[in-house]
Amino acid sequence: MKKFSPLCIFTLTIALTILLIQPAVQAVDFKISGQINRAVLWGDNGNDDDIKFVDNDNSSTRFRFTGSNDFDEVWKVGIVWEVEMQSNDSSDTDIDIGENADVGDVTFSERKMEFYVDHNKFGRVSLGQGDTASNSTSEVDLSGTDVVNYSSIEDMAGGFTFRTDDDVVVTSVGSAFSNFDGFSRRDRIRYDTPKFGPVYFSTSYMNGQSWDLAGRFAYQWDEFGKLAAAAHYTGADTQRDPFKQYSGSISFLHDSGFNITLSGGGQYDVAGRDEDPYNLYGKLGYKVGKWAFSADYTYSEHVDADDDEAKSIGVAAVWNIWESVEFYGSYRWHSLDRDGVSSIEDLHAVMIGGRVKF
Amino acid sequence: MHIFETKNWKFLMFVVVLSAAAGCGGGKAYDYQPTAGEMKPGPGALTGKSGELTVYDSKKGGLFPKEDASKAETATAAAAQAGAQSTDSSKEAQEFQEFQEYQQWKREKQEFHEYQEWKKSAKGSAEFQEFQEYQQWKKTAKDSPDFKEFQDWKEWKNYQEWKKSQGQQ
Repeated sequence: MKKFSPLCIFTLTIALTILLIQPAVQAVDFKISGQINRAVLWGDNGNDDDIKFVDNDNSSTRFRFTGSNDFDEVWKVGIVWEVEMQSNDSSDTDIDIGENADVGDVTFSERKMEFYVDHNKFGRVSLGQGDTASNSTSEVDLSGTDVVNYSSIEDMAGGFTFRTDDDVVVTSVGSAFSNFDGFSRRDRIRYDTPKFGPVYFSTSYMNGQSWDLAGRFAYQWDEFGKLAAAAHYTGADTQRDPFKQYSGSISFLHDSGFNITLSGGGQYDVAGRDEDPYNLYGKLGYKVGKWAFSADYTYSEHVDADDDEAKSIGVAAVWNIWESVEFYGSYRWHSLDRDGVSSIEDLHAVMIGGRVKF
Repeated sequence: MHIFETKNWKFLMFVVVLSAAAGCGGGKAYDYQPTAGEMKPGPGALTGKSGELTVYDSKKGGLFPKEDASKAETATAAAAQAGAQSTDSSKEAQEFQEFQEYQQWKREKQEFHEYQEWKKSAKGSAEFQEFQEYQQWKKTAKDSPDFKEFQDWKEWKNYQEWKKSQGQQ
């Protein structure tokens, strides 16, 4: 992979350039969309409690530009430019319980800045800042409550810190938990195969010679339900990412509204670590009318430090009052056990907020 | 690869479960789009059902409609404007024409009055008498040699005037 990567990238770049200068534009569109997701977050770390006004990091405030051209009914070239702007990110430790100020300067943060070339038979190539192949492979979720509860549980109150009973900071929720969801979004080149029935595969290559592979699956049965799943593997083990990693998730939604979601992931051959960190996550949910409810459980080991054992239970309700507006509430309990550190207090958090797409 | 050595049974189970699920029949593949961590799918408060503000769409239009539609709209607008202007100008022309006819009628009224005054005068009466004789002669002598000679004389006179005008140039 390392040997052929520069050549592959060069070839793909030339191919993309040639495609971009083809003149026969058949359809063009350019669109703007965005959302605001704000919440009130209450937390109790066993020593103190506080209320914060935050941007819900489960699905941050953002806006997006998209555009595409169709060529000859075969090719499609598009752009995605998505940025987020979070005032008091709920997973930022600067808003920890006891911190009285807001997080400092608010700026735009990159999410996606990429273009893609899509062929109706040979798949899609994407170049730029965007989803790596492995991104979201731990986060397949059909519960309808992922705006406030999903496998990345640290998004809700990741900025709060576990403390001992004498108020000594141990670590943050964001550090103690991870769903090992691939490489998130990076500057990369990515290839997605066309769909083979319900399945397609992806791979991406990024700075630092890191790479990943992923597969995705989606299938539905008439009058029964739908199933979606994804999994990834990365064995790069580079200086930038000194580990090997895998994860997968699967979610089933029955037509009755009952749903179940499972997710798991981990790393091995991690530099400087004796133990292999991993995470397991399960969720049961029910969707009825404009409401969705869920309860989940997370168990992880060795995530922030060898022999750490972290657990969390959460419940959530989401009310899709209008198609563009939803209100939600969630309670989550967090627990951490660490060798050599006694009396780490459990951490409780409640988030109530709303997401408005505009 | 480690995952396929020590955890291969989990991976195989995963693949087997998915394959079995898809093999049950009665279903079909669908386009699953991740929602966790992503923007809310569906309609937007300001953007309507599509959930996106369409700035430009060559098929559907948008804030800046497609070129042809734009041209068509421009043409329509121009036609409408021209129509409006045409209507306005037509109305004005009609009024102007009526005014000109009124002016013409005033002039002719004045000339007719002068004609009536001239006919009442002695000189006018004699000349009018002569004119009536001429008219009568024209009716009765239309096919006579005299009338033909009179026509030739008129043509000759016109020719002389034309020749004279040519010589002046």
